[in-house]
Amino acid sequence: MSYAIVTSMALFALAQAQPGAGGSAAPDATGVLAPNRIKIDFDDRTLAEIVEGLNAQVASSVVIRPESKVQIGGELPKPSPPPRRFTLHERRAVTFWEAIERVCGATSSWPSVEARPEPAGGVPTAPVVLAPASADRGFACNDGAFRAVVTRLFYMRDIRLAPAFLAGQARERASRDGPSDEAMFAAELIIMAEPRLRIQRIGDVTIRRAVDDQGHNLIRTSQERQALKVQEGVISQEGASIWLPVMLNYPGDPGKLIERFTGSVSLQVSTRQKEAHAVGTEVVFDFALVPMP
Amino acid sequence: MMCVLAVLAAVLGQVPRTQPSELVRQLGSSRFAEREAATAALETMGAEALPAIRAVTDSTDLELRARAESLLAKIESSELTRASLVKLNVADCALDEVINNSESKWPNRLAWHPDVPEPVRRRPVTICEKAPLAFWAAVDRLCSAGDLHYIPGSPDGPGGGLPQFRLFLATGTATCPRSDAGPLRFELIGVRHFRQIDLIPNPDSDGGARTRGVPPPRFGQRREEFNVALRVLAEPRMLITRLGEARVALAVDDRGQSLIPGDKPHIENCALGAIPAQACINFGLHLQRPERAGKLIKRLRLSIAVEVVTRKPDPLVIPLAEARGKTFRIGPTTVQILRLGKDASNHPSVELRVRIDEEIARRLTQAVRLEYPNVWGQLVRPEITENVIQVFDQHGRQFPWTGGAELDGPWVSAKLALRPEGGPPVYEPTSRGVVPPDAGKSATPTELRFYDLARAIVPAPLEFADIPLP
Repeated sequence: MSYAIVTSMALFALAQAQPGAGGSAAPDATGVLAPNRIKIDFDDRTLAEIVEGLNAQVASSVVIRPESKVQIGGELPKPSPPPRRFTLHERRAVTFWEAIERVCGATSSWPSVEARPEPAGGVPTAPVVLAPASADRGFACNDGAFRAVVTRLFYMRDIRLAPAFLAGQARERASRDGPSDEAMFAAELIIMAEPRLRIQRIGDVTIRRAVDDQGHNLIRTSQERQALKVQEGVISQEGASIWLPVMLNYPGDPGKLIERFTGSVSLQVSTRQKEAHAVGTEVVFDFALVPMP
Repeated sequence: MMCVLAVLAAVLGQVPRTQPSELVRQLGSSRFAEREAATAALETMGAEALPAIRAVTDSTDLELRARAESLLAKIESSELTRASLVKLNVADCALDEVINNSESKWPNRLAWHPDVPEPVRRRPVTICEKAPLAFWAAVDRLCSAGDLHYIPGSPDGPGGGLPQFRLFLATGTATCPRSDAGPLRFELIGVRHFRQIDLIPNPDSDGGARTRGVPPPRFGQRREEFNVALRVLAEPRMLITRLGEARVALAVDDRGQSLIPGDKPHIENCALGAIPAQACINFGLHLQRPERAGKLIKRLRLSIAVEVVTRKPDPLVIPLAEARGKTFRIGPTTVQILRLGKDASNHPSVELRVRIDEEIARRLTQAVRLEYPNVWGQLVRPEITENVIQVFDQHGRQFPWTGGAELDGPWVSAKLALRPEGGPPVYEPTSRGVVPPDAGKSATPTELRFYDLARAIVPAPLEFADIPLP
């Protein structure tokens, strides 16, 4: 089963039009947000050779897992079979993430970003790691220098009939509140940046559209969102990728698919160079036909 | 404020017609019928006969000793599997007086949580229960009358550092579905439904499978869990060391649909296997949620075996001054003091190792295996907890200690770090107190006490009804 990647919407212009969206970052005067462009022109090459070709254009940003088994030149240790060879062409240069997607699609790989320790005196790296995967393409969408992936959806309902053993005022509060019944439905996203960038979330996630195939609106009411704001706000990592739980509403009689799931998140972006200036941007995600848990 | 009626608690049993000591003497009678009759009478007598029986376990009369040891094990085990019976009959009596009455069973079992203010402790209650109540029912009655709830003691909470954990009373009522089985109370504390779909092609779990010709991991895999959360509490005179495999006899929703999973075991206990003795253990019961589930778990009936232990009286007392390198023995347990020293912070420490006699461990293991065919880990091993090991300083004050145990062949070894400031909070010191934090390095460990344990397996049939279903 394979699912379509719906859109790739570069919001470079939007970010410039709305400097510092959601935070205090400066406008992108230096073009940090502009995605790298890559030429794809590979004839009868192994994955290792293709990666070598990509790295020649984007400064060693891509590695293969398992790295120990890969040798440039296509020679794998025995008794592994000879590496498969691929032919890939694009008429015009594509963005970094489009190139990664094209390579992964052809070679049954899956990209993830892996932060690596900072070398002595050097710049920390966070290469894109290509690992063997099934032929499924997952749910991912590219937005300029950024990529959003839905990693999982989960639903949990927890009826608590007895409070934890507490004493004093905490216990009295719990006693007053009585049994609790909490439900949570969330999509977990990972937002990845090109390896040359460092990102940090600076605002809430905005859901523009979330509807299942039964027509149920999955966007939480403003009151529910308010209640969850603190929880969501806790998640703020800095690096090459950000884990983003997005709380949704779970209908009483849900459909089988989320027909459309669209939104955005505000990020602060800088290059990996020391003392680099940060700029603000909004990364858009847009997924379709995502299966419900 | 005055108590109109006395508070009392009594373990009920038949009044013996013959004194226990006389019956114990008859265990060594030359007439077989008399020995058998005395054995039966002592067994019926139960706990009351224990001191007299213990007095002859080192007798040189082999017949007498064998019968005494057998009786001791039976009665101790039987006492552990039955609920204590408590008679509560008070009028206009302060709560504090009810739980501290010297004639009752409460004093060593119930204690105030430190957060409970004095006025609450002095609140008068009237409880008229003419018939004796099982321990947990009596606790409920007391809590209901006094607007209280109970909190079990734990090593790192109130009661840590006490010889045995107590049941703490705190303000505010709390009720949840419960089912009592002898000295154990089971509470159904929650029900949880979780479902998830994984949406990445999951390269990390591939483990190179593709290169070995194995099909790649499944994308879009769904996982579902439907758990009933339970906790089991033991009467404060005992601790829980092991949960057995639960057998679900009936689990049905209000639409009549079975909730018992068909393709996997009914239960996956989180605490299957030997665990440090505790007063309260949480565990989960995994069920199956129907696609169109009802609103309630109409009926949940299961049975679970629980292993409990209690300290035997009369600990092994080891003077530490000359103990280094020496071996001591109590009941089936051997204690070896390896080293007395100081840790990096210059606090005193005691290194020791403990083992259970191999033959006894083998017999206990066989018994445990019968009840728990699927348990893991070393089935019978000595406890290294403050419940069984106490260390005292030169003034007779007890040291709180911390330290983990390590398996070392048949031995369990541990380094007890005696740290007044690092130990668990002690809310109620022993009669001679607890080594205070400011005693620091001046307190010297002079005596170690090791308690032998009595063990029993309590079969617990449980039933819950009308539980909300998520």
